[in-house]
Amino acid sequence: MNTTAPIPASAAQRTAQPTPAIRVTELVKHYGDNLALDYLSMEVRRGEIYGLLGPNGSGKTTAINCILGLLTYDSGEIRIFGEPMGPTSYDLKRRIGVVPQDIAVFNELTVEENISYFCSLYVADRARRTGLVDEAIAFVGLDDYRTYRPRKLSGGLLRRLNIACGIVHKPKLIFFDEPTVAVDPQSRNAILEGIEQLNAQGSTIVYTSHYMEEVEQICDRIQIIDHGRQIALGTDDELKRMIDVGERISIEAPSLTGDDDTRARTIAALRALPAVHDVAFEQDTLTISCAQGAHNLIDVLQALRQADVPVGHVSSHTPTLNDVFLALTGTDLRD
Amino acid sequence: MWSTFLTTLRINLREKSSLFWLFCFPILLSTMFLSMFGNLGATYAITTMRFAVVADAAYCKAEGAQQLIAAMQRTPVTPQECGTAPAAMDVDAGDTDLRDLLDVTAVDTVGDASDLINDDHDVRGFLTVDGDGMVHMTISRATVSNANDAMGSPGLPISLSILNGAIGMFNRQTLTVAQILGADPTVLHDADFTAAVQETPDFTHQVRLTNFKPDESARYYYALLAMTALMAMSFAVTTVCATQANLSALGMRRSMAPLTRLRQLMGGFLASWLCTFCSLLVALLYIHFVCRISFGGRWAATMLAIVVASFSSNALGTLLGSLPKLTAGTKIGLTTAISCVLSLLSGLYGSGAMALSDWIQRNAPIVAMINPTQQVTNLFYDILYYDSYTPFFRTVGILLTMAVLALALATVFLRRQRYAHL
Repeated sequence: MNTTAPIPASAAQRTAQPTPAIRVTELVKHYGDNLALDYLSMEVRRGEIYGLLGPNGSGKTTAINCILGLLTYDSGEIRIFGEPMGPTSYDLKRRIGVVPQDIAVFNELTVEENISYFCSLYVADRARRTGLVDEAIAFVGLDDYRTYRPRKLSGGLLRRLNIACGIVHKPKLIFFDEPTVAVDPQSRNAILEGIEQLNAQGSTIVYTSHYMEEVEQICDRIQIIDHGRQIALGTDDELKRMIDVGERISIEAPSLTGDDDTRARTIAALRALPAVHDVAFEQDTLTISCAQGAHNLIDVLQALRQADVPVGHVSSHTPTLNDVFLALTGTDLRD
Repeated sequence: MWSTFLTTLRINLREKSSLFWLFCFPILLSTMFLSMFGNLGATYAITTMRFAVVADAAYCKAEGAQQLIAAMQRTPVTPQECGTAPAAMDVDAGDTDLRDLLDVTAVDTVGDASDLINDDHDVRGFLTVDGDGMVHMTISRATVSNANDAMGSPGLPISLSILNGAIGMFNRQTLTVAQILGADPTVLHDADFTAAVQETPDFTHQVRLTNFKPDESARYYYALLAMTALMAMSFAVTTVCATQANLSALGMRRSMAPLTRLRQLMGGFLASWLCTFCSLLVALLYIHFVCRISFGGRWAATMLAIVVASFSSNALGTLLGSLPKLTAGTKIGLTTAISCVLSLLSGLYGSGAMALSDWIQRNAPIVAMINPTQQVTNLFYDILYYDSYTPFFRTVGILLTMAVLALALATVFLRRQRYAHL
């Protein structure tokens, strides 16, 4: 006998979690003897910007290519919008846009022809295509370059063209694989703003990068991976809360350079402060790592005044994702 | 598929290196052939040779010899010493007009003749007649040297050969008659014998085995068309590579599109086929109208030939483009290498290569049959030389079979291709 009370449809809808845009379960991929993905799992919620952060060679692009059905994998499961993804999942592919790391356009075609061609692979209706191409060109700011061939475009403009070709069909899920590599700061900002705009228009974004500042800037949630494994997952704040360091204070103290006794005494006094984890002195500058706290800077400056140490430039930094990566793996993200 | 077709067409026609190799290169090579083989036809045409004739007593007495020499001149020269000239002998030389063979100058002695050929290199040699009425030919050193340089003196070797043949035949006939008369002079009263003597011996007769008059240089142009067709494999190779995710970011992007790979490949194939057809058509028109190489006036068959040749080359290019574990650069390199090597086997690179091609045809027909450049060459050859279309359609069948096999193999390689590495 079934004792479970039937749930009204409306209530079921309210309680049901929406199907994630991407669900990857324990993905394993080998390149020969090298383990590229080590039981990697991820769940990308609809409407979010999901950052995949890791050093070069950590498995980000491999993960993306497996998700897109381009690469075979040894085990695991991949579902996009709740459906299994494969090379012939054309309905799913229609809803996906890809902006690959390398520029993927035809050098013999103009900007407009390139965008139009890639649009035609998704949209059969010619009239609708014309509108979409115009929108994409305007979106990436290439209106003045419609008739240019790619080889006449600068690196930043090429990246924008690469993006336009990937988003012209207005996909619901867009993969950006390191889209700002070798791009000037101005174009980089334009690209990041564009990605946020696409997200605001309803697209789910998967953004891979080894530039932590970009990931911090635009991503709702960040998955840090290394050696094909997940190191951490969460929002920017959640990740930073995972490590002890809440603040890093740098203080110029040139008087400590030649006076070993005072320097040792000062460092000991600073280490005695309850929130201080570590103190280092290098090139006239004290670097003090503290736990999170509202009065760290005041406490540190007071300790220095008591030690009679004159101070120069003072700065305070919140921890970066690099600090998180360093704390979790023991290596620098930039290495 | 239609947009892929148009895009591939645009790309192919804007790619400068393809345009050069597939449109300009065949024209350049044809022009080169034209300058190389332009004199080849003249090699087989009679050229008028200046010769001295020693008009001594023996010559004046030998009426037959005078008749022979007169038959080989447009305006027979009669030495004063010999009085009235006999009528020119009727020499049957088929289509060849022997009256253009000699321009004769009469001299008195052999010494005068020797001096003349030494002083004037335009005088190729001299003719003498001995006491038995036999004609002898002597040619100058300069003529020997010139005869060995067919390109420098086209027509001279064949003209010398004809003169030598005519003199030889005359001498044999004269000797035979003299011997018979020596043995039995009464045969002169035999009407049949005298009729037989007067009759020009007809040991050979001309038979036309081919549909058109053979043109030695045509084969080189046909081989050039075959090479052009094979070089055009690069269109299909590039098209296929641009759909493969492991070969380029472009391939990766296209692999992610919801358009099936088959439709993308079909669009690309049709565009490449059209480009190859145009490339062959341009080369063919240039070869016909500028280089004056005949295709037998069979234009429908000629068009069918380039349709089949371009289809086959693109099918082979599709197979080459689909080969796994090779980079796009390697595949393009292979295209060039294969085209060049197979063109060697089909005789493109000169008489040595042509001899090799003929040797293969005779001794290893299977190799010739599976060589697509040889088969494309044969397409045009069949059109020109055979009355029947049967050999042409046999060659069409061989090429289409190759194409179908290549496409089937390419399908096996490309079908649902996924990659372990990108």
